Amino acid sequence: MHPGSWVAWLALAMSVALSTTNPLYLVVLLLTLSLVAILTPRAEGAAVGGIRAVFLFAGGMFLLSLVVAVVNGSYGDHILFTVPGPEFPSWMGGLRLGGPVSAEGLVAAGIRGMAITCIIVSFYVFSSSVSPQRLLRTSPAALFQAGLVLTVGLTLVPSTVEDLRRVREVRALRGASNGFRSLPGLAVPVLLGGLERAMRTAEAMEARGYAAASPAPRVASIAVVAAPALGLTAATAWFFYPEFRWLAVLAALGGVAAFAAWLRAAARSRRTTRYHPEHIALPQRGAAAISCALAVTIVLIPIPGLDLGYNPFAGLPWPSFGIVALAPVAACAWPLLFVLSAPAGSGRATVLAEAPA
Amino acid sequence: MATDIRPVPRTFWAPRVGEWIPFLALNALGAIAFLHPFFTGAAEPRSRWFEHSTDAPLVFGALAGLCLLLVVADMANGRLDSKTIAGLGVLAAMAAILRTVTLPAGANLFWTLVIVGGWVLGPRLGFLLGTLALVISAFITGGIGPWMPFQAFAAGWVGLASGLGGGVSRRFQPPFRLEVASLAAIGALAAIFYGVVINLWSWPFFIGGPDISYQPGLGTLEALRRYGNYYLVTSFGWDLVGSICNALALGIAGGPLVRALKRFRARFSWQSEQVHYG
Amino acid sequence: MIANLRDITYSYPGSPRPALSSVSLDVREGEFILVAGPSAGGKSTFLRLFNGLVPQFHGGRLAGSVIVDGLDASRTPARTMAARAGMVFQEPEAQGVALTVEEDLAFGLEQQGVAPAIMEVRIEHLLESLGIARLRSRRLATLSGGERQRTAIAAALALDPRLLLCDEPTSQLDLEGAASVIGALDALHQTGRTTILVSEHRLDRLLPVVSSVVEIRDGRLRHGPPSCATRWLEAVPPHVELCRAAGTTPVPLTLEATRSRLLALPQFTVRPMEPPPSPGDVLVAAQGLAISFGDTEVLSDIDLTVHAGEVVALLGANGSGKTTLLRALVGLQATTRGSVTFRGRPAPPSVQQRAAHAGYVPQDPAIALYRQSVRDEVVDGLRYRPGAASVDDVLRSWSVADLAAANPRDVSVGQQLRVALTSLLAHDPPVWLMDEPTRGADLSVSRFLASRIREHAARGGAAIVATHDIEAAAHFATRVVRLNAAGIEFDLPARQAFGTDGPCPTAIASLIPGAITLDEVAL
Repeated sequence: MHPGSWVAWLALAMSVALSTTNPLYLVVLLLTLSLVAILTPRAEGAAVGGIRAVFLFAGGMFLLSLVVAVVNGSYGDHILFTVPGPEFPSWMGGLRLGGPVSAEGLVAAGIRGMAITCIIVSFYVFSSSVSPQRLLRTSPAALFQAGLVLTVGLTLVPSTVEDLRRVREVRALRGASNGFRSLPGLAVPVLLGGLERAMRTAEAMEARGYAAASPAPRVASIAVVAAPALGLTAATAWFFYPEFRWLAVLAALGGVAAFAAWLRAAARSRRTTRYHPEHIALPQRGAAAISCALAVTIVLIPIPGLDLGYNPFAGLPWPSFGIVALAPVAACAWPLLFVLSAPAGSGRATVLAEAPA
Repeated sequence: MATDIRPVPRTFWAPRVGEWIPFLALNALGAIAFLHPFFTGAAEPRSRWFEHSTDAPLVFGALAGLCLLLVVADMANGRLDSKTIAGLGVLAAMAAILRTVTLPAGANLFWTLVIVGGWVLGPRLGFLLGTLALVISAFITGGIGPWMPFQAFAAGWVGLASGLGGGVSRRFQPPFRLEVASLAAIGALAAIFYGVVINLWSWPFFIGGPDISYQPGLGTLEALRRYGNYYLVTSFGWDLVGSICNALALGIAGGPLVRALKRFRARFSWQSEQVHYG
Repeated sequence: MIANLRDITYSYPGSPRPALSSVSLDVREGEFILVAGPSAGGKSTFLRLFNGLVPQFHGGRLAGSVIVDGLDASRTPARTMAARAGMVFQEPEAQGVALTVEEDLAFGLEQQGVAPAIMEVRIEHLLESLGIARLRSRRLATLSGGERQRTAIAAALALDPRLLLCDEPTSQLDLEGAASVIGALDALHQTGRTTILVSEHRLDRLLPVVSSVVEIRDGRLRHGPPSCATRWLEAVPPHVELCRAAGTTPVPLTLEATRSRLLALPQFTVRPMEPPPSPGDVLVAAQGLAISFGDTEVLSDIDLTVHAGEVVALLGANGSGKTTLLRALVGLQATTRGSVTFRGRPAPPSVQQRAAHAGYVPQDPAIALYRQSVRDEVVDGLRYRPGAASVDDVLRSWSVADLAAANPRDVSVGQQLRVALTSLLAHDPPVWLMDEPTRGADLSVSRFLASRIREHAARGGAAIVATHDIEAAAHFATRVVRLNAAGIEFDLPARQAFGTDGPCPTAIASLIPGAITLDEVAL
């Protein structure tokens, strides 16, 4: 799958995770995302730990959100127990540690913890299925030079790690120990060696025809500021001044236009081509577009009949469960259509073998 | 006929005013996106705050990410020559690697390198170094996530601040000891500053009591009070240790590193446009 | 004519002495030119004139004119020059600008905006013609040195330049890698499409294949066909030196040609070097040593005992475990079985303590130099070794006293190597363990090293030197140990191992029975 499609999916997964406060739907979402995580083959060169480590990290974040709710007592009426703790004077912010812990507060914290867990799992899927260099190579031409710095940096990572190891060894051979005091002896030679190598890399780049291009045209400089400025205007108007939502829509459209203008103008200042350009296939393009549209809709516009929400502070009722509301949650599984229909081979077996470990 | 290519101040070090404007504007917009909880009103009815309290943070977080992408791309476009690209690339890679090498007391040399780099290379390259180092670090450790714009901007601002400090020091030429001391001070502040910025991303997601929780439409003072408490409870202790380690590491290794990098900077400073014929 | 240099005088920025003075040369289409000369003599600078890196990348002052393919290389932008003159650099690790082989080849084409379809064809062709097609999607970091340099040649040829410049492309490689790179260059020359300039200080493999030779020494240039150049080149392979001393004309270029000419030469007398003094006490010993990386055992049941006065040349193909064995002796590598003893007592556990007795010089030891001056570097080396010699004595004995105030990062590569050796062996440990100390070094440095090692052995020390270079080793070794996959293949006195009937005869031994180095031959 194309990195662009994964970005679109990521947007959908994040919006669904954060817009859903109904714990039952969140459980389904977490299962769906985990399924995608397990079934998606790991890309070569992707720097991620095993799936276990990710679930451990996500579980840790879940626990942390509960701990925050317990340490700093919470909203709500059903008090479960009281944690003894000091209260700071009001001039220090009036912070109270400990205190009564309510059932509502714990449930709310748990719901958020699950949303965070979902986000962590979806980013794991993203970074395990898209290797950094593939991401850089498929990024738009306007990002070429920034990407080049990252590519050069990533290329120099292995030799820098090697340098660090060798300098450490030579230091030990000279009798130095590895304390705080020997920092300069470790850091300075690695820095100097790295910079010298960088100069040789720069020479090699130049010998192969790299040269700084002319600065981007003025249109690009204006568009680059206009795009996020209009975006911020739109977001502020939409969320905090409901009477100006028409303005938000206009500003958002303007922002998108400015962004597109920047992409074009910045790309034009430098005529380069791409080896093996990767195109998104039509079905994937459609899926990505639908998932972006769905993401925006879920966050911004309440759809009648589709309620992912749940408010524990309204008397802690039993959350509702309906099949219709599950649609956006299930939609988060769409990459499986492409991943599972992709030609077999390419590493899927290893991922499946690792999963139960 | 002879060609003489002399060291000259390069345009990248002393950019035109027109190049500063997008840079500063995008940084300011990024900061606004982070700080929106502190100066926006409430729209949703208070009774339903829990259900939609993360909508705005999600959208503003995405906008912060956009600002980051644009500022880095805009600075890089057209103006980076091969030496700067390779130099920045290797420094960023080095910082990213040092972030994974843990020293005694859980410290690492990531900040040391970003701060020293900014100090010597100036505010704009310092900013680029901080952000790119963080992105590379996320790439090599698999640490990509919604927190990345916050981390990268914060690291960039540390590099930027250090670059401004370095500029002041070049103007006044203080004794070297004082230079090292200011580096250590920047390091100590950087750890806290970084902690304060990156906790902004997680704040809306953690539900505690009315003393620390984010709620849309709190008003500036109340939001600040709650965030201050949140930071104090969740991160301050950790960041304080980091702060001390940063100061120590910079105090010990900052001086030699700055000297080494300054020596090297001379090698950066020719450019081919300045060819004199005679 | 493809390139033409007229009266070039060039100095690096801030340097009072010109790196090249009054250099002129015409390069004809299709030539294969060897650029010889000592390190730091100006070879690299000379090559960089042709694609404008000197002076455009390095700065400095240039007088004279450089015309390459009709363009003034000193003023034409890099982007244009890259399509005229491709360049391969010395260090394999520093010249990749992408992560995989094909992407690296594509870099130059992408920069020129070549259409993707044409790019595909071009890259296929390059991968085929350099024999690296099977490596196409490998990451650069996982390639061997020889593979990386062939990739670099392919990348330099991507834009189909008429000129290919190679700056010591084989000096960082082992014999096998170097042979593959030179083979690739020779094949390229045979096609006649590309003019090649290659700088090198080991001439034996290149002399027979090049069409002309340039020597750059102290910034001055000499030029001639190979058969002529052998008369005035300074550092030549031993067999050429032998024929030169004997007055043969023309000097044969290959070992085989030399052998067939030998019969016509006057009889040589061989004066063997004095036999090494009988070995003294055991200084270091390994018993039943075994080392594994993961599940694969790289060394098993190694028994090696080294006495005072012995210099062991440790030979073996790449991956036979030479480096691993040395690292195990000094404690940098954990062993799975067996023991290491120093003077009959178990070796101490930490690297710091072991290095006090057995000083280890890894490959590229200059990597850890970080002080402001050579002197500080030596002081630092002695700081943790109380009771060792005084700093000045150490500086003098390694003949770096005149560099004491210089910054170790500013001196030449050969000097840097000496400084690094000094800082690692300042405390004068009884055993020296050295890993390929002569790799990439020119003749003067390897001569210096050989004499230092012999001196050390004569004073009652011992050394184990891992090396590929048997010609250099013949100058200092008293004993030869070769490793192979099964363990120690043989362990023989040096005269026997390097001798005419030995398992690894030197070039001289294969010509003149009874001698192993040229020093032993008198006309």
